[in-house]
Amino acid sequence: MRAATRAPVRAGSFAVQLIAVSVLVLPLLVVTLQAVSRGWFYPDVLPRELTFDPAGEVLGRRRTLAALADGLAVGASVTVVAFIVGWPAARVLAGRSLRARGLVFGVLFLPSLLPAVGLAMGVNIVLLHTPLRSSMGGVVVAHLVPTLPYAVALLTAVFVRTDVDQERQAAVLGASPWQRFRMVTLPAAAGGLAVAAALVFLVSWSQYLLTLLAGGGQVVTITMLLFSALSGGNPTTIAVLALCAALPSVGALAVASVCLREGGGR
Amino acid sequence: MSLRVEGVRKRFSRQGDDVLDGVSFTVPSGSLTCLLGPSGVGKSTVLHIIAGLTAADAGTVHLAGRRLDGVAAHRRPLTMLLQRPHLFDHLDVADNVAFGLRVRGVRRTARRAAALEHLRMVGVHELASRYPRQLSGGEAQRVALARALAVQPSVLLADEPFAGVDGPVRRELQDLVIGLHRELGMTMVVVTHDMAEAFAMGDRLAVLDGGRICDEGTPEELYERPRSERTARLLGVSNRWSGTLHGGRLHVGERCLAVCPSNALGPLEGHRRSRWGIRPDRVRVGCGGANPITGTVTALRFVGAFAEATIGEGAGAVIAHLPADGRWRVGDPVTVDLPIEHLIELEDS
Repeated sequence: MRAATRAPVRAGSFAVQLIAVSVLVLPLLVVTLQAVSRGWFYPDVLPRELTFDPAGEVLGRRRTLAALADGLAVGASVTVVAFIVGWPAARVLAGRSLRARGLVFGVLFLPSLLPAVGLAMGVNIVLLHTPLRSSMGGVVVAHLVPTLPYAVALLTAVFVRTDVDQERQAAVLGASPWQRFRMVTLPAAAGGLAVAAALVFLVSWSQYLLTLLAGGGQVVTITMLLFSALSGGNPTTIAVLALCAALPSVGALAVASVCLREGGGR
Repeated sequence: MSLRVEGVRKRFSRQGDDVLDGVSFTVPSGSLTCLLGPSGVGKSTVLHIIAGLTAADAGTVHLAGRRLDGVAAHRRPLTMLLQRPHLFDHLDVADNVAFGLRVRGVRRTARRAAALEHLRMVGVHELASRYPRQLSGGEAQRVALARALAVQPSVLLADEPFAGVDGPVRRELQDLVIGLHRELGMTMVVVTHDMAEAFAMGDRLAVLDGGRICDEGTPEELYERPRSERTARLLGVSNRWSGTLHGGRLHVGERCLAVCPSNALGPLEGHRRSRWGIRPDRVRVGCGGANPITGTVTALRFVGAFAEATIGEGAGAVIAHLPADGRWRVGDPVTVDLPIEHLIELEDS
């Protein structure tokens, strides 16, 4: 009887999983095929010729490599700075005694409610008056506006689940504040921190308008190259750049997934 | 090493009352002192202040004559078992036990050996390679105990360490701590709200209630002769009456009871209001004593080894332990005696 009632549930669950995989994997598969094909035109179901030559040519361009390097540098810098700034804020927000936690989160997420163009213009106007204009540092600062709220929110979620008494226990066993951080807090929160880092990195990695305005054309990322190619490039170049843009996301999510599994979700 | 807590005060909110209102007590070197009190009176706070995890608003803590105020928790020569084991999930059992040695810079092989030795002391050395999530509550608490002992503290503080375990496991852990205390001769302070646990474990008790230490002494002293009303209530002196001492006798309502001068807190001569009590297990069934009381059983509760009977009604009711032989029923007439050697005067709180 119980097995009979479970069967439709299992079928439904399988269907949901199938749809999820299709939505995520099929576009990636199509883009991958496009990236390694030469001449894939309507109404062909599959490419006529599979070759790595166009992909190699796009990836071999100095501009592409520089964009990859800049994007990674900006994303990594933003993640580090967002963590350094967001860590103490998240510790306070995760504390039991803070009454106005909701209000603080509301204020923190206000920039996310603004239209992207308005936000980018505002940040750009501020940066124009500083030495950071049209520099990588400026782009990092600009990216902090949309990423910092996520960093604080994610770190807060991590610290809320972290057992503060473990740190107290470590203290009475003789661990200094630095030892407590290194040997207790960090390992206990590793999974959550990896997920937070991955998401902050991805928010930065996918920024187009902020990078364009704050970088003033001096800082070019893969996302910018992709947007540029979309307005007139050939499909293979677009597919290669799209894969380049997607790969760090997939990699970051994979790392986060492994960390979560090993860290027991904390 | 002896520990002295002097005039410690603590308040958690500006508007609130002092949770601790001048707590003072001494833990003699090598003793196992139980800090006993009802839930929520600040016993854990006292321990946290001694350990340096919470700052006191006023007062001092001295360890072997050295003032500990202002010394960071990790620099104090003592350690503490918190209410739950709080094992580090990412470390195996041996590494958990070796944690305190690791932060002290002890080499891996030496600390591993020390960890195994301490795990053997608490009887769980076979669990060395397991992770905390693979342990039962009792096993985890044994590992936590081994971890605390591994750093060889001058004083071991334990905050209701067996709160998470019940029945035989709790008893085993109590016996383990008593055995280790005898073997190591370490000064220990154990916080508990359980009178039986405090009596079973402690060679000294300090009773905390109302923000202060109400009583200090050996378990036997406090069992037979609690000084304060709060201690008496906590230790099961459920017969407590207010009366008037007049002519060397205690007048409670219609009753006139004989009392023993050595059980009074002041002179029996003269006329004064006074509070007296007697344990229900000291009330004797039958007449023939100095203070016979006759009444009817108004309530009866079977407890196992005895039946707890309420004799009479209202403020003058007497609670007595009657033999659990099925002889007694509610409504039965009964005569009991309040032996004068067990009738004690209490400080009114």
